Amino acid sequence: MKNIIKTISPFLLLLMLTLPYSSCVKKEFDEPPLGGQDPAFSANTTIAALKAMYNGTIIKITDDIIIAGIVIGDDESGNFYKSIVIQDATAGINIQIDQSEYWRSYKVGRRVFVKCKGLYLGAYGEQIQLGGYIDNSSSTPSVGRIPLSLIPQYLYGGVWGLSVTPKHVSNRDSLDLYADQNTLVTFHGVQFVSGSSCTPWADIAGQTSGNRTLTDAFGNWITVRTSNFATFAATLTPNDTGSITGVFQRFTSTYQLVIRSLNDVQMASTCCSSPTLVSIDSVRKMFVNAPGTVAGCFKIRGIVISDKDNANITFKNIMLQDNSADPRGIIIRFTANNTFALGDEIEVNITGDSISKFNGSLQVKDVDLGGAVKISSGNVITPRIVTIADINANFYNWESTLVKVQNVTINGGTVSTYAGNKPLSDATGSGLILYTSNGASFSGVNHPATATSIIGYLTPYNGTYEISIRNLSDVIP
Amino acid sequence: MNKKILLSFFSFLFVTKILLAQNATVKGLVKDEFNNPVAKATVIINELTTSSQENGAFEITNVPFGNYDLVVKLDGYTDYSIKVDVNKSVVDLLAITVHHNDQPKANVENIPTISLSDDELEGSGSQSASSVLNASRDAFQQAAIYKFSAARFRIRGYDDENFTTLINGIPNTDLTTGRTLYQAWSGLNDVLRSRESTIGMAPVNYTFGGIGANYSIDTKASTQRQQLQVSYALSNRTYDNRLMATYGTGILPGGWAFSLSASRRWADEGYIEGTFTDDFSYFVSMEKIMGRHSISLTRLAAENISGRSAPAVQELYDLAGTHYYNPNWGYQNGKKRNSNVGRNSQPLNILSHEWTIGKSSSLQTSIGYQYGKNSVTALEWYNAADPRPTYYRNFPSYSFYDNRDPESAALITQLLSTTDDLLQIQWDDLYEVNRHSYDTIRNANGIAGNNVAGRFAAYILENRVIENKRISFNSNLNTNLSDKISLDAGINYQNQESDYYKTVSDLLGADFFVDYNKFADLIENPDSTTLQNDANRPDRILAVGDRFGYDYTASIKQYGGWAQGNVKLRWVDFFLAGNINKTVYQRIGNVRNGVFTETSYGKSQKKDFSNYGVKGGVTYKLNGRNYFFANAAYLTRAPWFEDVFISPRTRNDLVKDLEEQNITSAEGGYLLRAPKIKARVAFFYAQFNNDTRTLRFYNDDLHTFVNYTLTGIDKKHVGTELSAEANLGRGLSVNAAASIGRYLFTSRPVIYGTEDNRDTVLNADQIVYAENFHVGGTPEAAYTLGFDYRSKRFWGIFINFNYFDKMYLEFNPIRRTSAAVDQLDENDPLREEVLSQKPLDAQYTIDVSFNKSWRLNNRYRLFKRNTFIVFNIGVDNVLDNKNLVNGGYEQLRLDFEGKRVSKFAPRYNYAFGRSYFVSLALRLN
Repeated sequence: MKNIIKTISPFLLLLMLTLPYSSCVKKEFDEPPLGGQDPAFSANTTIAALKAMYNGTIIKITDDIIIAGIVIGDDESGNFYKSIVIQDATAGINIQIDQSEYWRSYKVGRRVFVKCKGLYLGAYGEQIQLGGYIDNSSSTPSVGRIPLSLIPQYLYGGVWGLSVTPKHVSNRDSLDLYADQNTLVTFHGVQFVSGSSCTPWADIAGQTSGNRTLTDAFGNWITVRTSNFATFAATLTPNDTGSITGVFQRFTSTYQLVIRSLNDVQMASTCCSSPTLVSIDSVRKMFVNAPGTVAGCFKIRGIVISDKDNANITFKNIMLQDNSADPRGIIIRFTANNTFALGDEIEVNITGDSISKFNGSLQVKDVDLGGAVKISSGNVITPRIVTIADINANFYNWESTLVKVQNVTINGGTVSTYAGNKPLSDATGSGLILYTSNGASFSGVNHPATATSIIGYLTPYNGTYEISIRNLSDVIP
Repeated sequence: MNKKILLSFFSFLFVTKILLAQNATVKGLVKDEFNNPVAKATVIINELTTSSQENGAFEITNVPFGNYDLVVKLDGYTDYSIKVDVNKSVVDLLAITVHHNDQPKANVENIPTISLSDDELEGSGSQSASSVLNASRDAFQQAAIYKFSAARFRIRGYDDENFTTLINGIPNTDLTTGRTLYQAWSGLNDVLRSRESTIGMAPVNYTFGGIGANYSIDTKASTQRQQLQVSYALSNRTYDNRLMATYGTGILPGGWAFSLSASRRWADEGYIEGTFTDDFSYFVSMEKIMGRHSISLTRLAAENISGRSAPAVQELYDLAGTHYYNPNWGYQNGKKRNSNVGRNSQPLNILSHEWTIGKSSSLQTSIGYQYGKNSVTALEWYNAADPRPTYYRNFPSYSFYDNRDPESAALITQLLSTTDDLLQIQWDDLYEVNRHSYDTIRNANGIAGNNVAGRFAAYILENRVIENKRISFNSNLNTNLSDKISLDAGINYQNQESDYYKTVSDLLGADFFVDYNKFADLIENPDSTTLQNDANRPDRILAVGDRFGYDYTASIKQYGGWAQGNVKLRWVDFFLAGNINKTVYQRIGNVRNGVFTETSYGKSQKKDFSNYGVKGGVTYKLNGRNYFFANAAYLTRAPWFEDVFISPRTRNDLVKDLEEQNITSAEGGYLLRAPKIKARVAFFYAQFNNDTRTLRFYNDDLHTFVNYTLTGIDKKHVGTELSAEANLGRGLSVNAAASIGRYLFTSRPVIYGTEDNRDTVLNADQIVYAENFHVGGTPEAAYTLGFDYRSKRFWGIFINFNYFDKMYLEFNPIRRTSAAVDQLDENDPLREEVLSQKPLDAQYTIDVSFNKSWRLNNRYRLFKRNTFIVFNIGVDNVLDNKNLVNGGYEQLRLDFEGKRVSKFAPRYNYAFGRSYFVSLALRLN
């Protein structure tokens, strides 16, 4: 009997301990009630009336002024940095706050109430703004941002999802730099001027905001200002006429527009932002008798067969050959010296570039180095093995590609330096000139009388058929 | 009833000896702590037993010459064991003092509570050993565990990995970090009392061990006390209530033994505001003894849910007006909600076999299987403002900087110090934001045209999970080759698989979250793959419970063997031990990180390390009371998993030029074991060379997590340990312990820094000027002096004065590089400010406790068996000293431009002020 009790008691004991398990500590949480209501107080001053209080110097607001407005500019896309723009029926104003990613709380469309007592009213570039203190760090005092932990003492979120109808204008001059600043405006019939179209909204690499110029139908200019932190900064501006919406701002006498996102832009575009890859052969065929431009949004890809290190080519040029079964090549002439090395595989945007002949050889000219991207390096191209007779028969198809000619006599068998023109001949014929630039690293070196093989790329020179080697290892005596 | 079996069982457990030609008589007197003779105590030596007489005297004849453990046992008293050197015809041990065990040591429940930071999720941190490792007879360990725990004292300043804890031979160590898994047994104090603990490098017969201390816990049912005990406790520390019950059958007829224990501990709110705890632990053990074999099965389980606290900068403590400010909670609907809720459950199951082979050998073999989850929740956000109140821009000092805006700073100070709620999480605001964050995810879940619209959570509560599975095998052989020579040897194997991942715990009012990498560098790599946490499953819509973020498996195998020879001569003992082991690490990526598409998914290369160790020592026995000892060890050790991979969360890349750590350590000292006074003094030395550690933190300037791998870390720990206990008579005794050391870096480690959002190297070969910096994290000097009074009427009162000095925070290595003081003039005071490591203020605490027990069966006939009621009350830090910094760290983030240390000031933890623990227990033997 004793043993039975003994055996049972532990299980009772465990049971006893397990019973209260679920109820010891309760940590279930209700969701808070749905928010999104306006606060219990209301605005007692219009934004226009608040703006009117500014008299040219920074003032501290000491009265119980409350304004309310709907957010028309936030930092969701990164284009408004620590600055929030609200607008009521009378005017708009921007508030400087020391918080990033504030859009989660004060999003475009939310009504925000501002208890202004204790804030400072000032101006930057004659645009009136509210802030938290006087910033004396530069020679002209300005209003500083409201410190992070004080923001909820001044700003109170209300109803979400309201909308503000923008003011529609087609003539910039119908706007007033004072009254319309920090309000939502849609410009109609505007277009980016040449130099501002088809360029990124801001310069990410240079870490500077972008000022792009719009013109209206009356020839007035509006600056569209975009932060380099905007998510769309790298996108290209459109080049067609249309409408654009944004927060209208001023910087002294400059008319500025700051867009919230690309949804604000209703302008068609034919800019080339994602070019189509085309073959070198198709680019060569774009040249028909006379120089022209690449009409279309195109890029080409190939392997560099020129050797900048031995300088038998000018520094702005490269010789590019594809690796198709019957390869084609072309000269790319950049607007500046390039650093692409022998064997680099590169992709070049040739949109709008000119196609012309220079001394008879076909080249894509005025190519922007920024449009050329190295994909890989160390690639090796096997040259086609041909005779001089083959070359004479196919010269213009093989132009700017690598060939290998075997058992060649150089310069009629007379040894001299590489510099200049040296006739070549083999068992099948002659008529090919070995050309070496005076600038080549090996131009002063003597060539052999004969060669087992020579590798080089073919270039015409005003009707003469020429071949150029890349470096001395191309010639096997 | 089963006393005979019990006795013989213990006798073969404790004593295995071969007979010898010469025999002796061993005699002595058994007394209690009040100097009263104790009758009917069982005295065992070399399988020979007797009982003490009414006057306490005992005598055992025919004891062969040799070294033995003499054991004294009696219900109601703590077992007593002493080494006896039988080397003459009559050995008189004089008085042997046994203690009533219903007078527990003061302060039995000081489980360190300090909040665990996220890093510590992986273990319980290296804070002081759990109180379960108590009851050692060594006064120094008592002090280290109880008295010094308030300051998070670490024995000899060593990291936790230098301490080994075995349960029935199975190591209870997390192989990814080397840390002991204390939380696996928390709340099971009653059944983990049977243990051996050895400080330093003295030989133990169950493992080669670490150089700090070795603990072996025996959970076999036959070694558990035969009793039923139920207790209830009240406290104001991490928990308010504790209910505990333990039952042990002892050895039943047929050789069976069972033991059960369970405890519940809970608090709606602990000592620190916003913290809570809810623990349920249980223990089941059964054993069957069959002659020379015994088979036992044990399951230990501790399930814990707790709301945590976190260290904060001093400025926040000052604003809050308390050193127990906790930034982790906030009001939601008027109720306190903690954002960092930890959940632990890692049950350990052990099957053991013990085999007594002949008279002189035993073989213990165990298989362990431990599995479970550790997790902690935390706030996560996407394209939204940092919701934590600890964000540095919230503080007045940010506005005060350069006297930029003193007016606002004063306003913020006034506001935050008067409106406490503002220093907490604003849950209601997070819900408000989430409810209005409408968005459309295009091509969701990687399906073209699948556009999902709804509320995309700006804020969520995520759950960071570590799921462990560990199989362990261990077999130890102990054999006496002769009466002078014994041999211990063992083999072991462990295999651990740990999955690390995150899940969505709460969407906080939104509809979904998306598996995007918020740190992805979209400016430099603006393609949609970069943004994906898992490029194999792009734009994945997440609901509550879904895995997201990082997801990888750490696969670790470790196996090895050890052997130890012991020689015991008349005047001198010496031993020599060696071990070899191999560790194999592999990372398995379960997602393809969009930034590291080629190196994140699938298996990494295997990285293995072969290591060895040797140790040896000698003990000189001047006589039975005075001992001199010296031990030394040299060992090599593999780096831990988390330090082997540059960034295990994102990729398979190994740290470059990985090397093993090597440790040289020595200790020596003197031991006094006189009847009225026990004392120990030890000198220790340890040189840790060539260690590798990786620091990981969020760098706000780079907008990403960064990994700083430090290689070539050398550290030297030297010091002295002292402890003494003296019986002053009339129930009064005095105890004292001290640990005084210097724990310094002795090299200039090299930093290799990488980012988690880009495949670039931040810094390579950056030198950390760390020579002679303090290791920190533990007081280098700790002292305690205590007085105990034990009345003959079964009550006792205990008081201890504790003093801590030479405390340092663990320093930020990045702050000790030339980059940190770049462009500062040699005499610029800022330079000193950035580089120096300042000591924390010395602190004291006073702990007091009282206990009393009643033996009911003496007074009331109702109770047939021995029935005790035990009452215990302990008050720690009686004088309510709230200035003891017992943890914290220098923030790794640094203001490189302004050189302003205060911008990212150190974060501190303060030890609890006055706290109490009251318990009442009923025990039936």
